[in-house]
Amino acid sequence: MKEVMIRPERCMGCRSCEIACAVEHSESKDLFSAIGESPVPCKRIYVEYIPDLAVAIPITCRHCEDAPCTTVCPTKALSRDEVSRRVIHSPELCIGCWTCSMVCNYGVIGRQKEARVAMKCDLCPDREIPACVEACPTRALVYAEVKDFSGIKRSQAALKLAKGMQTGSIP
Amino acid sequence: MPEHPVNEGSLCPKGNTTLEVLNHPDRLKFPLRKTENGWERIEWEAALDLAAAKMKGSLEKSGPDSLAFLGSAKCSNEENYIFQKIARLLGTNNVDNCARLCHASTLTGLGKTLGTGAMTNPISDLASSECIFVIGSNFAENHPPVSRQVLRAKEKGAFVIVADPRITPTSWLADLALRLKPGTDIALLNGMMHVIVSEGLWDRRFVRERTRGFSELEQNLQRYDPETVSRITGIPSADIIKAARAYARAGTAAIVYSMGITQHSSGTDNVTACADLALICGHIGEKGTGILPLRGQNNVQGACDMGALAEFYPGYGKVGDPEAAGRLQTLWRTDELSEHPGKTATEMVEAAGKGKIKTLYVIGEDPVNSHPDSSQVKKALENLDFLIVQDIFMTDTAEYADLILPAAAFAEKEGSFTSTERRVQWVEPALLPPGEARADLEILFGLAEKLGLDFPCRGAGEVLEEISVAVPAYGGMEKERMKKGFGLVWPCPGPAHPGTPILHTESFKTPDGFARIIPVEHRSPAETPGPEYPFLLTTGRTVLHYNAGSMSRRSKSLLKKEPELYVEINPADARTMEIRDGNKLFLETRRGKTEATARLTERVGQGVLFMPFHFPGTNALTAGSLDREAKIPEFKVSACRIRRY
Amino acid sequence: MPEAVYADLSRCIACHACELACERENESAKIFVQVVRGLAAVPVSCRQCETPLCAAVCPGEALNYRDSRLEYDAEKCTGCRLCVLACPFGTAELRAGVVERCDLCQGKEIPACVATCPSGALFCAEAENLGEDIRTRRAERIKKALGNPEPAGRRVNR
Repeated sequence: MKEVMIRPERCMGCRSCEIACAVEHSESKDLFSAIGESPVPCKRIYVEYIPDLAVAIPITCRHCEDAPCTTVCPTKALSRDEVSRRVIHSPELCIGCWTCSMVCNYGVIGRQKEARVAMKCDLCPDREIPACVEACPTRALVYAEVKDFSGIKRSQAALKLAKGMQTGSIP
Repeated sequence: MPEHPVNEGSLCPKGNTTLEVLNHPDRLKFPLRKTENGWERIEWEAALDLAAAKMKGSLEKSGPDSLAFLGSAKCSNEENYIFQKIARLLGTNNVDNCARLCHASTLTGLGKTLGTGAMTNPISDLASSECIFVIGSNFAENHPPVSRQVLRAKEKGAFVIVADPRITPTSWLADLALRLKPGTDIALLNGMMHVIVSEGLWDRRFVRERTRGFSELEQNLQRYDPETVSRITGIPSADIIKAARAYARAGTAAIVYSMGITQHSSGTDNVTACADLALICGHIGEKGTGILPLRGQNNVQGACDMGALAEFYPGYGKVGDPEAAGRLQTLWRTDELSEHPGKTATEMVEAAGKGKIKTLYVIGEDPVNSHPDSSQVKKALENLDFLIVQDIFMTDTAEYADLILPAAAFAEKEGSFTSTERRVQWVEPALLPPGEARADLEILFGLAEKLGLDFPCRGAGEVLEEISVAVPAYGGMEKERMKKGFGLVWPCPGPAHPGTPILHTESFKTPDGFARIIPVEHRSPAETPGPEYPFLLTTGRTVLHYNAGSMSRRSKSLLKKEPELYVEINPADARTMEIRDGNKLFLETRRGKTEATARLTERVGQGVLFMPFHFPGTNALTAGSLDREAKIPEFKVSACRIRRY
Repeated sequence: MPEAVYADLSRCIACHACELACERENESAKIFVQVVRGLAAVPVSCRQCETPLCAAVCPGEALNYRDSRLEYDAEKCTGCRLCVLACPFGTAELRAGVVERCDLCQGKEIPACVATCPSGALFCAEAENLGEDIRTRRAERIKKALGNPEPAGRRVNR
């Protein structure tokens, strides 16, 4: 499965992903009409700004292979979709006990105020590429398979190494 | 109180059930005398007269050293001070407290290396450590609020190493857990130092400028290469190297230890090895950097500071040192202080067994359950001419008493208490003592009067004034100052001094200001498992009970959760012996036998048994072999055999 | 805003202080520390669900979810134990004929279990803010992993 991978060194904290996420999960899917909507559309990706280090890092559901949230959910509202391998949430089963939120290692399970249920990244089922990835101006977010993502990193590392060889800094 | 710097408002289970204990119907309410028809209630006057008469009798007949005084680390500084003053004015140094059973080796071990046998840093300092090395301490169960600071450090990225033979909740917090064989602590510490020295990770400047004796240590360490140490301790050599590197490389590193280090026949050496490790890495005297022996009782530090010890006067003046004795003689306006060190708590029992001690005065202690080898203790107590027990409950020791004096508990009296981090705090009474029970200080003054001793001071506040003269480190301790804020941390030599949370920042308390690095050798425990007694029995605490249990075993909610004596055994051992969880087991050592319920758990390794010492029975098994210097018994290792009931 | 007692499971040291504090304040404990195979511990207490199953099954309307909180009317409780069956966490208990459940120590600033927790594992939070703290810590760790090639705190030997 493809996932939203993060390249924190590229994030400049513009929060475009957050806005795109909220708009995508609105009724109208349009920024200007979404603002006035009720219930207010909510984001599922969070840009964390760390003042001490002056950096921002987008954090979103990792769709863990052995997801703690699906293990603890008493009503199976959170489960793994066998086809798409995504961790999906069924609001109609959710009882709002927030055990999932307590055990989530990333703190990315939010609360839908009006329905009083959990709310998390669904990787935008209506779209080919999730809204956040598309909105990211610096490509800090990448929608890719884990092995492809590693591939990108490998080729970057190889490039660096090659440059080093050219300048002779590596014997 | 959420703003308190130590616990921040949190309480452990024992703290939560204090009221159950204090308001318990079993509280002693009247002085009792043992007669042929059982206990008889008597008046206070008569009780004090009787006690004084018996003490005077022994004094006249068999000399001052036939008297012995066993003080309490749960009593205030003032009470301990007056207690030892009575003993010493009667001409004996036979005065001791339960520190002998928990941290006597800290006094000797840290005393000879650093100069002061106390925690070097406050507990809250742990939060700023980059590496925390915990050895022989299960603070998560025994000092739960400490874990708050350790977790805070971990959140900042600290590396936590826990060395313990068992897997405990403390090891859950560890980044690296070292499961060593009981009694091999010196080998591990020397092994770590070997790695640090051979990899050049030691702090050359600190060793050069502030210590003496490094070259001897270097020589001694050669034999302790990681492979050898791994064979002795059972820890993989890679883990020893990893631990050594993490500790030595950290910018700020703390060693936390407790009774897993001290309660051995090599207790003093164990502590010395801990000090050596800290000294060669220069990990002493800064924030978050030091050695933290965690004490077990509310005032065990204070009781030692007050000189309720056989070999120390108040303020750690050595008995026999004419200068220290001279100072006290002027203060107490007397010229007869005994120059011979007295008998320690463990030696008192032995002497009583031999009939050398006639009258024993015990305050707030339960030697029957807390001393090793209970059957010998019972025999010794029976052998006494007269036993006075002053306590809040009818303990197993009190059953042997001839006279029982009911005392007030900590919340029912005023006085100062010195916590493990040297913080001296003033306590005001919150409750009234039950029945006719009196504050220990009041009883002691009453007794002193009957004994014909002329004490000039009366209230706890006035005693504190005398303490501030007798103990230099308490020079600036005033009742009003302590009541503001959260007490004062000694050394606080003058009224304007703010207290000293971190020790040894500039120089050490040794005569020349240099710390001593003293090489120590690994020795096997006094008793090792053999064919006859194949298991190694170690003892310790659980989270739900407190020491000998005379208090916590009276809380029904604690008892509901932990009702009886149990023994932890590894499932693999249990399988070969066909033992199931909950079976009654019969345990036997060379000294005694007891019964306990089996608890199968991976927390103990194979060949090791663990028993808590909160219930009568455990110490029927333990050995009385003592450390040479500190005279602390080896509670942590005995050879044992078991069979199913 | 609905609040509940949550636990940072990596911090729980199985000391049972919360149980005893609860017992002291509320006569019987409504939080339970479960030790799992001697290797970890989990405090379990009422999760203050927002669509509570206990209220859904209650036939006598003794349990009612109103104004973002679960209300309990002991007089209407018949002691039929349906709520005990329905609760997925086993935290509704029947004692003395009526159901006892955690009311977050009404009238107190913070629940007794949270106030007493020595390791700071228990905390009171609103569901919406629950993830915030975890996210910040996670972000810091990712940044550290990327940003510092030297191990933290490495000391230059003098």
